[in-house]
Amino acid sequence: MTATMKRVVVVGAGGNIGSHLVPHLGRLPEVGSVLLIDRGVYEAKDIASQAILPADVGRRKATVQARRLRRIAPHLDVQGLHADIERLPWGALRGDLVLAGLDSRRARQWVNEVARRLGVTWVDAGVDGAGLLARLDVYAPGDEAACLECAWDERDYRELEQAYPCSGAVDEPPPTEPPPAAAPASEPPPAGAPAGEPPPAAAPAGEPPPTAAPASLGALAAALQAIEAAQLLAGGAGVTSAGVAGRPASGPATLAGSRLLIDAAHHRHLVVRLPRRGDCRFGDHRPWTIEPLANRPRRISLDDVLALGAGLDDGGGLRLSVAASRFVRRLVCPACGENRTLLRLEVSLAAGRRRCGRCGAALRPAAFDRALTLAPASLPERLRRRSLHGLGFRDGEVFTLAGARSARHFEIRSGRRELDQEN
Amino acid sequence: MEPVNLDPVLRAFLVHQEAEGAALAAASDLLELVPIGAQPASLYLASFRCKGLVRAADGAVRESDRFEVGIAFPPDYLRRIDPIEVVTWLGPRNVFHPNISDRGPFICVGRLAPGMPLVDLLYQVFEIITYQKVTMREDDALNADACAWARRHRDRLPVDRRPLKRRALALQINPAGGGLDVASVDGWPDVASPSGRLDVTSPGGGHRVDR
Repeated sequence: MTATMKRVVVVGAGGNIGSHLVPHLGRLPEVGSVLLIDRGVYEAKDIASQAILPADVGRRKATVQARRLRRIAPHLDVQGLHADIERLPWGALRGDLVLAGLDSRRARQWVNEVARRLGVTWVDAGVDGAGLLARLDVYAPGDEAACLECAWDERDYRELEQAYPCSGAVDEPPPTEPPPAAAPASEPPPAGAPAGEPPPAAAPAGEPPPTAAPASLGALAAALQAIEAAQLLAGGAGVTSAGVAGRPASGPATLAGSRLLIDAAHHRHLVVRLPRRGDCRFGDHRPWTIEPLANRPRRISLDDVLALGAGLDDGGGLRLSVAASRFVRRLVCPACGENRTLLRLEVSLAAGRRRCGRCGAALRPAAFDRALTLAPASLPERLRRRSLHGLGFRDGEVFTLAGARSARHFEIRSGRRELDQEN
Repeated sequence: MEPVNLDPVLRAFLVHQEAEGAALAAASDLLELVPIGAQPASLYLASFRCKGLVRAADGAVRESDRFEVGIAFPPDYLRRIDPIEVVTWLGPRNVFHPNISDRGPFICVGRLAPGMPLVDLLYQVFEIITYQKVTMREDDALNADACAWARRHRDRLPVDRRPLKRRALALQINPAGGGLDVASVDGWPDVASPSGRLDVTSPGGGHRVDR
């Protein structure tokens, strides 16, 4: 791989679109490195709609596609990652371009947030099997550029609704299986309805029903995505991070900041601009300036972190945070009252640590046992000497140190390939 | 370095919630709402004075009339939600309800969506405390004993039928009859007498009576 060759991250790499996209990536001259992420395992029903063989059934999607891509392009640096992307450290998405073929609204929201903050262009591909529609949305970074959530309204956010499972069942996927449906619905009868009837089974929150798209439609979306990827990479995807959505300063025209819609049923296509919404719930759309920390989480202590933020502390103390995660100080069992004291980043809490040793129910942090931020200076010395690894930080973790008025962002980037969990 | 500011969209949301929450508390005899921390508040203590159930030390199920929850809006509340982070059961610890744990600070309020207004959360909690909403599946209950009890005593539910927000009675003075005619009693058909006449002795003699 030469310095000019690009790194592409594919999320949802094994699905109806992703499985058709992967071979194209092996044939793009601009691409030198590919990370394929998928949490799924192939089932027999996937043969009809995805580019796989019967022998792939029962295998991890990321593994199958990574091996296939290596056979097509042995020169490529290929990683396959079997993981739920929402639990990955942000640095996993670091690259020149992110290509997504996801069916989960929540996962797309996560990709949107991470790509935007990292300053990476991402291409969201989707299909509608019933209408024979294929869609590409291209999101360039920049405060004035539209993001995924700029187009979301109340209904879209309602799709993300969460039901707290009263029984407290552990809702994390086992490490080698695809994640189960979201937590069981526990909604009581609606107001006015007679109390006492069991609630009807609800669709898993955040997970739309399958698109039931034919393989050909997924292949169409994948081909469009590959063409756009080539255009973006040739024009310098990431070059647009100066903040202007649209055409890069040089190179071919791209769809940056636009949606392409192909109506295969009526042989039409449409390109529309994606507007930046002023009251978008995402807030400011600026990419973060993220400073790399070339060290392993085991070798960085909280005291080291405090030293990094020396210039930020204006008397009120420094706060440490990891976007979209929380620090957990105690887990409680709602069923038997057992509790466990700890200090750990919630996103990296393994399922085993969340199970009650006494009754087997899921341990949960109460609201006041969770913290958005940690004040390292207020911790006892023995905790300040702990490594970030001991707190659950992983390679690729992006964290923020903030004083009262200003903040700095850092990414742990040891250079080790700890993400590679393919085998 | 980057500036640390409260996002203006979130700020506007929080300001609105504070105003709406205060209006509801002012119009309720059953709710006290205390915003906590800097303005606009992102943390509330809500005290409900409605009827709910507790289990006494002797095991008997009794009525109580004071229940407290904490409600928190984290910075990403408009975009994602974790119900256990937003609503926390604060007491009493011996509460007796299928949707509320008596072993930890957990209340199961059903489905929540990002950006759900404070008032909607308060109604949802109120309807649970009063057994207007209740999980009847023991395998999905935070308190299985309470679930079994509730199934056996459906005829006693809900334990409090009063609305959270007091309803306005539109009353008209009927000089000839010497009483007040009840023009409308929103949602409270049993308030008026069968004749539609409510005898009210009111020194103020107002036309509109809130209860």
